[in-house]
Amino acid sequence: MTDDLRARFEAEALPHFRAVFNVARRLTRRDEDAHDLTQEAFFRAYRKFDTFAPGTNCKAWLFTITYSLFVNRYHRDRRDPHVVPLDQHDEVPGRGSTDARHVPTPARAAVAADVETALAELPEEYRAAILLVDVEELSYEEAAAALGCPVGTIRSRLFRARKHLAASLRDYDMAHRRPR
Amino acid sequence: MSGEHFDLALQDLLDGRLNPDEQARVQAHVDECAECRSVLEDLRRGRAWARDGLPAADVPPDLVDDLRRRLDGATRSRSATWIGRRRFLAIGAGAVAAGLATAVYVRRGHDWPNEAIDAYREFRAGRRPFDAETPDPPALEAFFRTRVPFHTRVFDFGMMNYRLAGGRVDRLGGRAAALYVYAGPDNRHLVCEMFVGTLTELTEPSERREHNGIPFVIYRRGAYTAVFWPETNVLCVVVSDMPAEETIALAFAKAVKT
Repeated sequence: MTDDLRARFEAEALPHFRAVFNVARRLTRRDEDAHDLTQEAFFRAYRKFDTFAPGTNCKAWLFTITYSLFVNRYHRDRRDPHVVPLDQHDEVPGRGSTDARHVPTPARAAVAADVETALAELPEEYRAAILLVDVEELSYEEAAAALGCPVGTIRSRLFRARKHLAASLRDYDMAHRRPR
Repeated sequence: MSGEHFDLALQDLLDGRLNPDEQARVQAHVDECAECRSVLEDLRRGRAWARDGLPAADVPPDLVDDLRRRLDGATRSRSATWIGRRRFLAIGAGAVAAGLATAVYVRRGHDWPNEAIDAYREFRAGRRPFDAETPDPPALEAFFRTRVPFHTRVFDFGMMNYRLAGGRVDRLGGRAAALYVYAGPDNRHLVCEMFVGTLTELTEPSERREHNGIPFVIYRRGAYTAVFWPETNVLCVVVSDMPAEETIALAFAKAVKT
């Protein structure tokens, strides 16, 4: 019985380890916390794996556990000075032109760092929405279940998060004509 | 329609969440409205940055190992609960001994190259008989379908002058494995195993190579060569005592990019 459960867990859940780890990194923004969060999420998932419905989206189920743990243990954004209220960005397109972090450069590493920075500036609920839907390709409905909110909330968070990324990275778009 | 409401409808248009009538109506408005076209373009760019601008970092190798050690402990704990507390206490000393033995086994279990080579030796010595003896790859895949918790792919190696001999359900690193064997010219044999795992769990290899975009991890241990590569959530390994480059070439031929 336990061997079967373990084998099923290895086959269905562990392939998503990297995805959960990367979401954890971007939620906690500290490697040490991301390691702990990922480990704990998978350990809990294993202990309740007999409640997972075969045939449903295992990755979405793992994110539900991960986000719940994150909210309970690593909820720091409210006192984090690096998070910028989204309203500051809505009316300031192209603000990167006055910010050294957003000077256009062809170096991919520098671009990736700036995308990470723009993402990190988002309040955690918005960050989580765009990570689950756009990066991890969950449906709105799956993301809503994982984050414990209505689909309409995911929709509006996603809207504002995407606008924030577009505004923060506008100089790259203009300089390099990103493919769409 | 209010501005905010319409903003969200633009996003629904972008994400394909509108029915055909709504889609036509919103698209007609976008065609006429520069402001909405600009918002739609922002949304498209924001989505593209998220999709393409946030590469996934590799998982530190120790992290999966640490998790598996915790899972091993939890698995033993589940078994202990099932046995029952009183009985568990009664056999406490035995359980401790079994736990120690399991810990030793788990530590050894991560030396998958040696385990795979042992499987090869034992097969050649006649100590690992086939559960299913067949030259037909689809028949062997069907045999494994209900016996291992992953999809197996048994390749037809006829073009390389190797024929399938048979297979068995085996164990590698304490996990269920599909083992099958090809027989070739000059009494050469190739033992293949598939099991759930990742390259990050392997010990330091003799060599790493890449072929057709697939990473291969190669171990040379005396006369034996073991070559590992990943296919979805499964690790594949081939082992033989034929010349190393021939084993590696057969691994390259067998591997499929996933």
